[in-house]
This record gives sequence, C-alpha cells and structure tokens, in this order.
Amino acid sequence: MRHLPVFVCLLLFAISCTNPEESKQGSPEQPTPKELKKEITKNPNKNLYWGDTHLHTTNSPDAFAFGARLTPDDALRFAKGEAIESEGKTIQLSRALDFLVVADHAEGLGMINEIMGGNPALMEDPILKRWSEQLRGSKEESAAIGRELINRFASGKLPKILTERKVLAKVYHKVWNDYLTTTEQHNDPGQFTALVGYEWSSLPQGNNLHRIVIYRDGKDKAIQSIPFSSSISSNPEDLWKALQAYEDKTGGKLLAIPHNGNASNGLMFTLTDFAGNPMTQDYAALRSRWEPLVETTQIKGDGESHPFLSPNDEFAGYGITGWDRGNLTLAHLKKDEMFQYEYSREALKNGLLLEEKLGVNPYDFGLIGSTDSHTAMATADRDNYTGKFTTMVNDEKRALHSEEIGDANSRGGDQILRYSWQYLASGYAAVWAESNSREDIWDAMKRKEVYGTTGPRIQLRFFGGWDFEATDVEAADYVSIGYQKGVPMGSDLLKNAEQKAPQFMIAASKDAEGANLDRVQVIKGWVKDGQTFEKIYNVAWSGDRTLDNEGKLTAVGNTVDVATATYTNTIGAKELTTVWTDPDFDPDTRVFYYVRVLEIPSPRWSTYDAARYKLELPDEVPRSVQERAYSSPIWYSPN
Amino acid sequence: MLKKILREPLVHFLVAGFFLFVYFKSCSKEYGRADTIVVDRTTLLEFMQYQSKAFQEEIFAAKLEQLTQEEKEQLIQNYIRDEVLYREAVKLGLDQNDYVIKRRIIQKMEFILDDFDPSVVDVSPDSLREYYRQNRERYFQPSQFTFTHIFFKDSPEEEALGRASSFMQRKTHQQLTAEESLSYGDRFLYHRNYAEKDSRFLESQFGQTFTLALAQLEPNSKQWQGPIASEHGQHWVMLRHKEKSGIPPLSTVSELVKADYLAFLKQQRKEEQVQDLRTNYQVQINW
Repeated sequence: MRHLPVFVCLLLFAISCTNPEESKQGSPEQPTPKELKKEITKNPNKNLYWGDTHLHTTNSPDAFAFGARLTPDDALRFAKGEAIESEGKTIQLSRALDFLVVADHAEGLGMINEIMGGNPALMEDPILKRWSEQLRGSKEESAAIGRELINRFASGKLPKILTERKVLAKVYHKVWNDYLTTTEQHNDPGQFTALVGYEWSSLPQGNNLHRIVIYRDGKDKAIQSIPFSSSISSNPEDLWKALQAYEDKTGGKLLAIPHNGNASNGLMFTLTDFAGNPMTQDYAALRSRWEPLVETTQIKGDGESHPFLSPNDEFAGYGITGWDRGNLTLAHLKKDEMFQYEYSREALKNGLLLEEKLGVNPYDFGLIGSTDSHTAMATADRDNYTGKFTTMVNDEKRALHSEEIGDANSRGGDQILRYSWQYLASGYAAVWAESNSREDIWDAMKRKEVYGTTGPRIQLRFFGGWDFEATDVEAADYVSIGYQKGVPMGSDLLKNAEQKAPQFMIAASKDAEGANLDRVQVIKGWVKDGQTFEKIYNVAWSGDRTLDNEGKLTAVGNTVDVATATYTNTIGAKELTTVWTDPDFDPDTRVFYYVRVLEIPSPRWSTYDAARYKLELPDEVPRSVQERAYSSPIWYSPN
Repeated sequence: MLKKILREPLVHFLVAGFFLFVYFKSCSKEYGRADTIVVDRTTLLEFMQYQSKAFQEEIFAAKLEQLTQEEKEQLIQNYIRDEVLYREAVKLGLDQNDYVIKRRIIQKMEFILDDFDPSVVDVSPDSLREYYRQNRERYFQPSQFTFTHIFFKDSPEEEALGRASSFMQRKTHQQLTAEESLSYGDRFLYHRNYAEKDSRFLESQFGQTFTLALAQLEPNSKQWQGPIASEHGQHWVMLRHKEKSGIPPLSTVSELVKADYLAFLKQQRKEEQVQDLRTNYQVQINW
C-alpha cells in the first residue's frame, strides 16, 4: 500500500496551500430498499442480455493514478445509457447495456479517496488526527503538515496506521459499504442488473493471474466480508478458500473469472497446481467449480487462440500483437512453450487431457468477453473507443503512443515498447437468461449459457443434440426445439445409446447496427492416445462460395474505405444458420465443440481515430479487422 | 524523444507530483539541499510499481529483496537517471506552459475540492420536487412497446404479404395466444417477444417503417394486428402494452431524481468552492 501515501502527500500538500473548509465526517446514507413495482416475466427460452463484467472506476488505484475520477455511480449510469462527462467530452453509449459489474481492484480499493475524506478509522492515529486538525487551521499550520508529511514519507516514518491491516480493513469496509449501496440503488430487476464484484489482482513476478469475482447476492450478504486481496495471497487456491468461507458464512454464492492468460507467462492454465506440483483431482474439481468462465477477449488482447498453437487456423490470433511478447509487466519475456498454457482453446484441449488422467476436467469453462476499461466507461465498440485509461479519453494521438515497459536490464538488455494502438476495442459478455436479474444472470454464467464478442452485439444460439432435423433451424420456434431436443451452449451432451454423430443447431444474426456476417465455424478439440487435436469446420457462410478440398473457404472480401473509416454491408449475410453434423465423430474420444462467428471486415478503432484526427499510423497497424463472437463449448464424453 | 516522454501519462503524473514536491521544497529550509537525490527502499518500491503500473507493495517488496546486487544497482541508476532528467527539465522550466501538466494538476485540485457528503444534506420532499420541476425534461422517456409477432419472410420466390394475409384468414389463427403463436410463421432474425423496448431499439432490428406503424397501433392483447411490413418481411403483431412517450410523475422516478439532485448539489458545492478561491485573485481580461 505504500504507493498510496504518495498521493496522500501530494494531495494533502496541495490542500495545505489552500484553506480548505472543514472536512465532513459521518457515515454515508443508508440505502432505501427499492420496492419491486412489478412482477418480472421469466422466459424459459431465455432472453439475450448484454453487459460488461470487468470495469474499473476511480476506486482502482491504477485507474485513479491515470486520471479516473468517475465513480461506480457514474459507471452504472453510463452503462444504463446516460451521457456522462469525462475529460471535457460528453460520452454516451449508442445502446445501453443490460447489466454491469463494477470490478475494482481489491488491492487498495478506494483507499485514496478515504484518506482524502478523513475517514474516522484513519483518524484513530494521533498523528493523523493532529494533521486533520491542523489542516483545518491556518494556512501556515496546514503548510507545516505538508512539510511534515513529505519529510516523514521521504524517511519512511509515515504513521504506521497507513500500513496496518486492521485499520485498513475498517477503511475498506466503508469503501465496500459505499460501493454496495451504489449497486443496490442502480439494481433494477427486469430493467438493469448491477451485479456486485471485484478484481483479485494476483501478479506474481508480473505474471497475470487476475480473477474477477462476481456475487449472486446483494448488499445484505456481500457486506459481511470484504474482498479478498492478493496482498494476502497470490495463490488462486487461497482465493477459492476465501470464496468458500464467504459462502459458508453468508449462504451467498460466488464465481470467479480469470482473464489475460496471454499475460501470465504460462501460468494461467497449467497442468500443475500453483506450487508446480502435478494437478490433483481435488485441485481440478475446485478450479472447475469456482471458475466456470474465462474472459477470453478484452482491451489487453484476445486470448482465444494463437497462430503458434493453431497454425492451420487462418483466423487465429485476433488482436494478439504485442501482448504475446511477455508477461503483463514485461518483466519476463515469453517463451514458445508458455503459449499452450495461456490461450483458451489450448486450455480447453488440455482440460480434456487432464480429465482423462484425473477424472475431472479443471478447464471445462465457457467463454465471455469484457472491457477491463479503467475509465469507468464500458465502451467496446470500434467506433466508440475511449482508451484503456482516462488519460486517453480526450487524447487525439492516443493511437500513436509507445512506452517502454519492464526493466530491460533484468531481461537481458532487450528494449521492448508497448504501443498504444495494440489495445483492443473489446469486448462484451452476452448472457442467455430467463430474466434480467442478479440471480438469473449469475445462474446463466454458472451454467455457462453465455458467450463473448469482441464488441459487436452478434446474436448467437448454439444447441447440441442427436435428433435435429435439417429443417428445425428454419422453424419459427427453433429455440423451443433446441431446448426440447438438445442442450444449449455451456452444457454436456446427453448420452446417446445409438452412438451416432452429434448434431448442432446454430443460428447467428448480425449486430442490428453493425457489420454483416462472413461465416460461422465450429471449432472442435479432442484427445486421443494422450495427445490433443483441433479442427476448424466452416459450417455456414455468406454468398455462393464453396469449400475447397481442405474445407477452406475463400475470403469474404473487404469493403473498408480506410481514408474515411467506413464500410458497407454489400457483402456478407444478415444471418447464418445451419444444422451441422460432425462428419468425423468418434464415440470413444472426449471432445468439445464451440462456435466462432466472423463479421465481414470493418475499420479498426485506430482507423476511426486516424480518419477523425488525421493521423499517420505506422504500417504494422491493421486497418481493418474481422470482429467475432465465441460461444461457450458443448462437451461430449464417452463414459 | 523528450516530446515522447512528456506525452507519457506516467511521466505526467511524476512531473505533476514532483512539481509540487519541488515547489514545496523551495519554501522549506529544513528539508535539505535541492541538489540531493535521496534513494531509499521506499523510493525504489514506488519506482518499481509505477514502472510496471502494478501496485502490489508486498509483491514488489519481495521482488526487490530477490534482486541481485547488480540488478539493484541498475534499478538505482535508472531511478537516479530519471530524477536527474526530471529535475533538469524542471530547472529549464519545461513544466511551464505545458497544458498536459497543467490539466493534470487542475484535475487533482478538483478532486481535493470534492468533499461533498450526502449524509449531511437535507433532501426534503420540497427541494426534491423543486429540482424535479426545474429539470423535468431530463426524465423524458421514449415510447416503449411490449409485443409478440408472427413473422413471414420475404423471399425471391414468394411475396410474404400474400402468405401473411391468408394465414390470418383462418379463425383458429386469429385466436392464437401470444405463447401459442411462437410455433407459427417463419424464423425471425432476432426475437419473437419484445418487452418494454423503445423505438430506437426496435428501429435497429425492424427498420423505421415498421416502428412508425407500430406506434400507430392501440394495445390489444387479444387481437393480431397487421400485417405490418418491415425490412425483413411481414409481421402480425399482438401489442400487449404501449407506454406513451412523456415525462413520468415524480413518484415513479423519485430514486433517480434524488440521485441526480445529490449529484447536482455536489457539483454546486464544488463550484462554490472554486468561486471562493477565485476571490483570492484579481482577474484582468485583455482582448
């Protein structure tokens, strides 16, 4: 926590130059519980809800350091469709979201604001109390505090209270309470869901092991314990213990969602436990239980697949540039053998392998996207990109910056730059739930009836079964048929005595305000004789293209006009549907299938910036991209 | 290169912070000589964390312990190098007239002025009503529609209109409930049921012609109305509920109004403080 006192010093010092009014004391207002005005209709065939499960506000120290002053309240208002101001700009989503998880870092959560506001728990320290009084005194008195603060800071003699866990816990409790009050105020079942969550930011040696923790519960339960911080432990097993302890204590429910395996240097989806020992059945069961989903696409790169692992997939490696050079802090460079433990597709395959060995699949997860934006604004569309940090919101040259990351010498002298254009405008989480409520959305996440996109609101249904007719997908009530004859995304295929090949009913529609669709692919992974395999099937596509001998399809074309950052929907299809049967099915192998939907090419966010602000982009920046959706898998197991 | 550095947010922060630091030092005799660079464990930990933009003191503390003597030396040298460049830059006045730095400091000041505490504010029903009265247009809600539709797809072979019309000629079809209707007609691109969706949302899925026609219908949960043409084909619509556009009464939006009112008071308080500070200055406008 010692980064916080820097702020304290600077900010209090700045205060000392003015003559501030008395700082206000007292506890925050109690929320008035919102009455349910109407019965919420549940749809057994599920409605589609869009949201972001990973958004930072001023309560995250890094977001604060980079200028974020917007609060969880602002973030929720913005997600609901209100216009808000940031960096002198008025910003509004073209379409509101249905749900949002404000997930600030558990580490240092809201602390800066508390010290600023004179939190009573911090006032227990006589020095801080004296400061607080003197700061209210004359200008000379307050200036003296500024000096004292800096001296103490420089000599490491800050009040111990600022580093004491007990005191910090009290302060955190207040921050957490305020946050929960805000989410209660915004949670509006049937209309908008404000889920409670936080980020556990484990980062051993700069290797990203972060998880977003999401509550099924409201304030009454969530208030009973504060978020688990990685400064207590950076071992995921300890996180799971903490989650279990919360559930035991409150009767509530939690799940955790890892992200940015691409920055973990081979640690996110290992074949071992955290200590490096071979994975046990217990470990696998815990992982599978607590972590049903992976945030596979977001602002710091897309983690579905990497060309190194999937050389035959010409669409592998969306938005990976730069993010595959090393770990999060670039303190350590990437080695080729790390990739297999970082990307979602490979982890799904390794999960099958581990299941053969242990009887439990630790990596039977579904896929979502989310922003990880640190601006309090959940923007994931290519034409509304606002940057990772608040400093980028109103910076016309935000696509052109570079910074040296990590300590070149500790790496052996390599200078590595991270370029700001490498950030992605991605992604969102799509949830098939019975209604828009905390319980139904959380339950859908838990059963993995969810999918992710890199931003566009592509609609995707995906059912697996044994008895679909080719015409089923044309039926007006194809959804009911899907549920009657099969299982939705995120499920295991039911057993089939006849050992015939499984069928998949897939229906994808374009984003109503976005680009047409190029193709739908089924990605199959399996394990045989202790080895994993993958194959990509093109199953539905636009126009009159035909598959070649290897099952490949020619490119859909490209209508993007780079100079004006525009495209036309003159190619591609509004919707693509099919009932597809696996032609290579072997009833004796473990296998998963998931769907990838590709849009026709459209301008990248940096292309919009270049057109708007007249920028010269470096040659290596892609001008157009094919945005996409990833479904959660459907699994088949022979026993 | 210097330009590039000055564009970096990290540098902005350090520059802004250090500007205050140096400014303070200039008015403090006890503190020490301006040309001393103090490097201690705390400084190094800060430095490491800001470099990697990850704030995890325990982890970095451990990392610092693990550094070899050589690495530690290098870290110190890097820190000193930054400090020297930074201080020289300040001496040269490079922090002056830099709008990015200025903006950053303004931002900090604004944050400091934010000491609004809603718990001590009296939100009386009267003040709330007055605020609502003055800001009514903020609470405007567009029309919202709740309906089910049976869809007939346009295709090159067949006009959807003919199929749609003959479909509803059968008495049993006219009596279909919304739920029963789901297995009739063609598969629709998006949804068959829409609950409380506004015209903007519907336009994006059905097009403008359909949405305008829908707005003309009166709700009737027993009758299929239409057929209405859209970008995709023809639709029989059972419009179950229509919330007309308009400004809802205070009672239904009181939570929202209250939150807005508090936000307004907060902003107002801040502006008052800025105005207070302004009284310390004489302003000359020459133009």
